[in-house]
Amino acid sequence: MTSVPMGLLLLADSRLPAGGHGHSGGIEALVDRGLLRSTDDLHAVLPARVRTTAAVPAGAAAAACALATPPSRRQESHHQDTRRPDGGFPDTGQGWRRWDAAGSVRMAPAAALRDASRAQGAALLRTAGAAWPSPALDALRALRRPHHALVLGAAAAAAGATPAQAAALAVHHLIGGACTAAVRLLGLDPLAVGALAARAGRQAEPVAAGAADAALAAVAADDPALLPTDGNPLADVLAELHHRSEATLFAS
Amino acid sequence: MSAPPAAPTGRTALTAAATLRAEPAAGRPRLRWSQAWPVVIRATGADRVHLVHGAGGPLGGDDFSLDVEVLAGASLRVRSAAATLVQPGAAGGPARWGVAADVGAGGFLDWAPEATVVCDGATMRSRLRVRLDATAGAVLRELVVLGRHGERGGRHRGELLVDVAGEPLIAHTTELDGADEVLRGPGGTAGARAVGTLLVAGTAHTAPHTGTHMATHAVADAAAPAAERGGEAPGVRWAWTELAGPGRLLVAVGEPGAVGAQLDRQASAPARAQRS
Amino acid sequence: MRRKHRDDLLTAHVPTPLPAGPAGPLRVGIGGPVGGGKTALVAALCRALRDRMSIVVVTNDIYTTEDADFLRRHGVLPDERIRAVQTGCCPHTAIRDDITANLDAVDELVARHDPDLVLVESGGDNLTATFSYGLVHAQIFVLDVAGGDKVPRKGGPGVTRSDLLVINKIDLAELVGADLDVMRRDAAEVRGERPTVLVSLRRQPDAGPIADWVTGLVAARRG
Repeated sequence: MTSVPMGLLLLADSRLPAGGHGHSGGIEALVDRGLLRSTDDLHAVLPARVRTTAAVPAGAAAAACALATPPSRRQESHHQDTRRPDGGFPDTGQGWRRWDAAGSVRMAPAAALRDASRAQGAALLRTAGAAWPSPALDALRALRRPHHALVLGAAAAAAGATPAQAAALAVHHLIGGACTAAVRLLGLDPLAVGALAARAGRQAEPVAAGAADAALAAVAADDPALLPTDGNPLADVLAELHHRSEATLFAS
Repeated sequence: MSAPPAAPTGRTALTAAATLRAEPAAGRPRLRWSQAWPVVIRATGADRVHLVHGAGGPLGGDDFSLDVEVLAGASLRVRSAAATLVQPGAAGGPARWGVAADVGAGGFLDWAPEATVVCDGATMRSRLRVRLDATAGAVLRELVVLGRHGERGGRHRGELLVDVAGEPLIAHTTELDGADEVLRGPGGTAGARAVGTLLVAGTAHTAPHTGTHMATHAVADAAAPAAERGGEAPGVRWAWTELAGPGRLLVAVGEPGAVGAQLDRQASAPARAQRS
Repeated sequence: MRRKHRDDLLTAHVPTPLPAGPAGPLRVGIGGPVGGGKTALVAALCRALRDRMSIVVVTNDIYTTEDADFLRRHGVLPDERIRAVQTGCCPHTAIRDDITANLDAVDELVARHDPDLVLVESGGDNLTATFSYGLVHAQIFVLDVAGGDKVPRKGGPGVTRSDLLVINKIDLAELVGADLDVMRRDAAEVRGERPTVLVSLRRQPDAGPIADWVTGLVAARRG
């Protein structure tokens, strides 16, 4: 009964130009310090990162998707649980601003992560704005450099996806970015890493679903404070140190 | 004064809600509080209190809270007499510790209790929620240690939520678990047992009365040399970061002694800079 | 087919019309293998042209910000006119497949400095790396004679499709046993009408003919 929007698959495809290839999701910082050296290490790193750093982008993407879904489509099955007050559709930059700020305060401990998120948000907005023209994506432009998860969620909505799918999409990119970077930096067996990515994705499904639930509650209450706030202090510190380091291949 | 402590072990879970208020008064600040056993408050200075957790707590199942109010123009420094030792309780479940603080115009809160040590088998949930007026300031120091010496430690879920003038400044939750291989692993804390944070928030730069300077700004400033903004030393990795709103945050991860020492060094650096 | 290639004929080979490409000022990509002299060429162009036009540079060094640092150290442009983009080990991706980070850097520099010329220097890459015409209007591919005199014959998109092929370090030709005539002839064969210049940027630090070629493009872009 549910069909998968092709646009969702395109948004999940790392070949879609969106700036992701220049970011390692914190993997390079671990590699540089000898904390990640092998496929076994990656096997340990992925679930930890999924548990600590996936809920924030997943929640933000799901919220953005719910917010960006035009009112006319909200009554469709997948939005039944979006009990939003009318009139909250963010077709202006102002409508997005609180949700964008919510991303910044959740990434407060690392300005480097906020920068990386905004750089990738700007990159995706270039591509998605042309691929899925929509009032919500247009409105995001007013923020100049919105957070990546917001653009991802708004683009997912424009492509016909649901908030839960948008949350999964955000987690998928977190895992994919980390795996690609680990292969490039360490020369790991890409087949073995592919298997790790698949396993991490399965483990991440409840995280994405939980974040999507929180996001729908936040949107229904029109309160970004209800979005997940989970973080990872070592990842935050390393992101800052990486950003200030002179010899890095990835921007983050 | 409250009743003397019950036997610290095997006691039933306790619920306690204490309040603390700092008021400005001509010449010197004035403190008012209502303590609730086992959350004991002792005034140790004109604008300073020490918290004491009685009853060997907190234990699993305990639910303690403290509401703090710093009125306009007032200042308050909060310390603790010793590290807070969180242990498993007979009642089971997590120990809860919730602090909510409001700081009025021109007010200043300096929150720096000793470490929270989560012993093996214990679970702690803490929340530090601070609302600052647009012209208020705060320095918030927290240090979480997993386990006593030789222990891996229990679980700690800590929320730090700060608003300035009604706008969120930071909303961050950290989950640590010394017994969880994934969270202890390289994608988590990489074996570190301690996480410390020092948040300098708001716009007030000097605490009235105490002269406690928030010149930590000078240390964390983006223009400062990289070595003063972060680094890696045996036992600790640390970095200052600029927040999107008015404030700066130091995060330090590593071994308890080194992380505590780094927080001390960074907190006292402004005083050194000021003297020189 | 074979003709004596004269550097000063280069200005005759300004591609007309330029591809429509991105809006705004002229953007020239500079690519080529590691060590060929891309950064030296950027430095030379900046020195030669900076008094005549406003220039900004985006670098994509494979190893972090080394090229940007080189340019700053040598004082060829003020710091704020240079931006480094990290490419996650994949310089070809950043100039061809996913150009968003470079577009971002270019847009930021253009907004701030309103330049006449934007140079985008790729990280050192293989012979197949070329710039997307969504990122630049024209591209220069830099080889050196030390890479061997067979490189032009081997071709590859960088050699065959670049708008200008620069064969650098001709002062070393004898030392490395490279035959310049062979390189010149092979380049002409695979490139057709597209120009090639043989040069020693060490001996000719103003990159005269290349600077003239770029100047012609800037003029053409201005219309």
